[in-house]
Amino acid sequence: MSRIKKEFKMKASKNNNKNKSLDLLFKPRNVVIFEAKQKVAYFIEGLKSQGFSLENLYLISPSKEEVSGLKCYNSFDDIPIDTIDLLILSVRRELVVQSLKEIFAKKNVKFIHFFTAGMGESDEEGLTIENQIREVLENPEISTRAIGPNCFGIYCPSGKNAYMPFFPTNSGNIALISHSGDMHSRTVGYGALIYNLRFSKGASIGNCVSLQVSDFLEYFNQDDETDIIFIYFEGFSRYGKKEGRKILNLLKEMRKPVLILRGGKTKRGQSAVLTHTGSLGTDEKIWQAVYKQTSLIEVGSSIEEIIDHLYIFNEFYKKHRNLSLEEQINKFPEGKNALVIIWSGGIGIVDTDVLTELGFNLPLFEGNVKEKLMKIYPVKVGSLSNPLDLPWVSRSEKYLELCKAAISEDIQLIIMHTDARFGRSYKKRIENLTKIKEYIESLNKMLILILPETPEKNRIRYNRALVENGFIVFPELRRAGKAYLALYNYGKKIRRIKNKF
Amino acid sequence: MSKNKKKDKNLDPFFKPKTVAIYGASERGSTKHFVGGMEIQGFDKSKLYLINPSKEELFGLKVYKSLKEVPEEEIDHLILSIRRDILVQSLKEIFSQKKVNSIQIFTAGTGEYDDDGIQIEKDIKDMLDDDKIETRIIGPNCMGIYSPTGHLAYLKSFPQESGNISLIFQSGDLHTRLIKFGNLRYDLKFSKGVSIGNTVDLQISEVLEYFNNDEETDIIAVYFEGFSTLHPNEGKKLLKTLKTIKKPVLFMRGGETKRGQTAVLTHTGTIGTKQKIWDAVFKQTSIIKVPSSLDSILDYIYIFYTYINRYKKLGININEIPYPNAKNTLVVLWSGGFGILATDTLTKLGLNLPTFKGKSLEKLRKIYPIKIGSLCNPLDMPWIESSKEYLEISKTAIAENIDLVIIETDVAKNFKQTKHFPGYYSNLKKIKEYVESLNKILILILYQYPSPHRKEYYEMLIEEGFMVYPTLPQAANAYLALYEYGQKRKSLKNQ
Repeated sequence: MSRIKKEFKMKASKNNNKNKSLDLLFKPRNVVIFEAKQKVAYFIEGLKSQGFSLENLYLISPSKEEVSGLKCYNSFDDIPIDTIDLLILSVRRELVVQSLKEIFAKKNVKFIHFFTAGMGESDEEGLTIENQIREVLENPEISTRAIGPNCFGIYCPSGKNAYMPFFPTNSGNIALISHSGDMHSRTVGYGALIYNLRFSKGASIGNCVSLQVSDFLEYFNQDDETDIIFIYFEGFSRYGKKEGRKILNLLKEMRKPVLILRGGKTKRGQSAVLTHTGSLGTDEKIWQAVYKQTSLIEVGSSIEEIIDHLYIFNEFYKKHRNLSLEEQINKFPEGKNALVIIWSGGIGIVDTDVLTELGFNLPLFEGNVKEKLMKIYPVKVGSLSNPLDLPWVSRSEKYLELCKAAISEDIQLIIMHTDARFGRSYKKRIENLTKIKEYIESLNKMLILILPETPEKNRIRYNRALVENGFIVFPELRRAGKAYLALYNYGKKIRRIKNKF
Repeated sequence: MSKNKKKDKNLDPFFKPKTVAIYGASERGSTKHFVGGMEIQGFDKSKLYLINPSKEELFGLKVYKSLKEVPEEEIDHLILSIRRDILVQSLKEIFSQKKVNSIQIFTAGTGEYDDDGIQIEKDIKDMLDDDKIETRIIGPNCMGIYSPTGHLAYLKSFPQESGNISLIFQSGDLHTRLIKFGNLRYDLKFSKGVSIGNTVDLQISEVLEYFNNDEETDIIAVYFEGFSTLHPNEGKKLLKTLKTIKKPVLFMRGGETKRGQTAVLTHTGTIGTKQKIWDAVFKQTSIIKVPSSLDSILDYIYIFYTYINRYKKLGININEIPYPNAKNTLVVLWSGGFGILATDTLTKLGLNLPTFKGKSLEKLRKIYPIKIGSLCNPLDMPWIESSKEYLEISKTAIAENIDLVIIETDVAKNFKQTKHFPGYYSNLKKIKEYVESLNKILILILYQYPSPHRKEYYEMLIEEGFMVYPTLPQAANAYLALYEYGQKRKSLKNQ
């Protein structure tokens, strides 16, 4: 370290205590991209698509006149700013350390996004480079913090910041921390397309030479724009000090739901982690203890499960985000009793099997409820049991009355099947469903619709209309059931540990 | 009571009737769907007879006052859609008026509903036990028959083109959805389908036997709820049939859980069976157990359908098809994170992902020493998917004792105009060719999301003959079913 110090006079703030705030990483006042070239044009396009002010975007290239229609500066000397909020550094790995030193000699840099891959995850040489980067950044005179290397970067619609042009421009309340850039991109992309999810902030953090998972977790916990946090985690980077302990302590205090998907849960998966971010895996036993002690929720190993879970949590916070923590906690589902409403016996049986296997109860109607139902409509075809099988009745006025009578006190979740066979004439159907939904929500229960996946225009239209009308719609029962259970389990955990806050 | 007479095993009148009558036809309810379905399937309308004493004409067809008036010697298939109270009486009339070879009783609210309904079913059974009556009956409480080559369907929306999948379902709605979703999602085509209902007469074992001997059927899917109390020997018969069946049978059982069993009672009123018995059945026969879900059974059918038809196209006898022997999987993608998820998911499901080390890895590195990504399996090859190195690395890796190749794929907007797409697409086609030349399996994963370019790409891939699944676990489970079937065939052959 001392060698570097002697070689370069650093132009850097003297503040040794690194600032905790990551505001300028997500909402930079200016962004510099070095080295600008066509291959990384999506950074430029991403910023453009979010409406980032182009006057504050500086491209630097010693050889190019312009990239993506924007002028390039020859060198850092030419840009008219002293302090760079966010520098996106994309140079060959051999040049990273040298560039860093040169830049620090000229400018004050708040945050760096090291895009360059092929580092610690790749070979010994890459590891050496990472260590050198770390040495430079550890200089007490440097206050710069960084994400990466080997990462895609930052997404923050309210900061007009994105690394891909297809990310939504409006904000939501989900924040992402991801060891994998592609996982991050697809969570945003698929989440938006499939469930209309929106995000507050997202960080693809790569090999974590500087900023660690715990830094983001702490920041998001304090962040007013964030209600839900998702982490795609591969392991602890070799650079974080006491990272495991820090994460555990943060999770113990956490007042927001944190969902985690751990890559490398199997031994064979661990070997794949090594070639990806080079992180160090952790013992399953330790994780089981963490799940027990904190409100952390584990997600299985698929992208569908990530977005399914985020979707149901998001729906919850859409309705309850303005409540106090105490009131919010009371709103989480209190049980696993489900009522299934259908118009097909076969589907009802399969559903019963699926939900029972997942751990739900389907209470049978008895006494009063059964009588009430028979009085309203003595169905001959179908069944007034649970699943409530109501063929031919779904368009009649009795339908709502029957559903209401069937939703007894001990039910927390109501599942209804619907499909796109109504073609364009689904307005009336949505009206009927809305009445049931309003009734269910007035009782603080949850309604989930199942709309099976088919590549039909009608399905896409009907789905969109349902979502716009505030329905929770899943393509498959098993997926809906798992997501509901995550929400239920979180409620159970947070109720238990809130006393320790 | 039963005189144990031999009932006709030829079910052609159900699936390829020359004449069809709809008894109790009306403008409301099911008649419209039957007439519409048959019309779309191209059934000869002059051989379709509607019967209702109080109607003159329906859907542009003449209505006959009674079955007697119908100008045919015999009726191959009659659809009975009337109130349950007059069901027995009507059947008597029908039997006295004309020779009818097969009947579908559409009427619901019988044995599954209450004691009166149970009595109705008993009465029907008694009537059929009479030696003079040769008519076979499906139902009650069933949607009926789908048979594109017989020009029969109970809904307009069923595909006209026929294939080699046959269905026996104890739920009409599941039967309907399987056909519709299967066709829309995976372009599946069917030979014959029957929604069989409460099975007062025709039993699942009989249809199975018929499909086993049916030249138009290569794959059979069954949705089973339980046995009719009127047929105490059906369990044994079914087991016997399943033991000797030569075709793959994908079997989904409703009411696997105890709680599910209570739902079966109100659906078809059939008697469920103990899990232990089923475990033994799955052990002793080549049938493949499918988890309770429409999506699962579709996924399973899809891989059998694609795989069997691939070999049929080559002129290979279906009994000679080589089924996969092992579970060594190669995953090709362009994302490290997804590579790890894939590794975890596949490993947990019981597939092996052999790691490329030493010489094998050297061979791959020689072709292209990628700096970003990994050549260890998953092959994580970002940026080079349109290059010839991508193809060569993939082929070299596949040659390493791999049975299943999974490639995660996706495209961006306007993908056809991009510089890289033609090279990438041609790589995919060449990998497919190579994989198939080695009798191995290639599956593409294309995530499901609503977008026009995704749809366009998906259709392109299906057209080209790729097998495409929306998620990795779905693909892996389907492959494991195919693998299991191969293993079972082998061990049964040895016995």
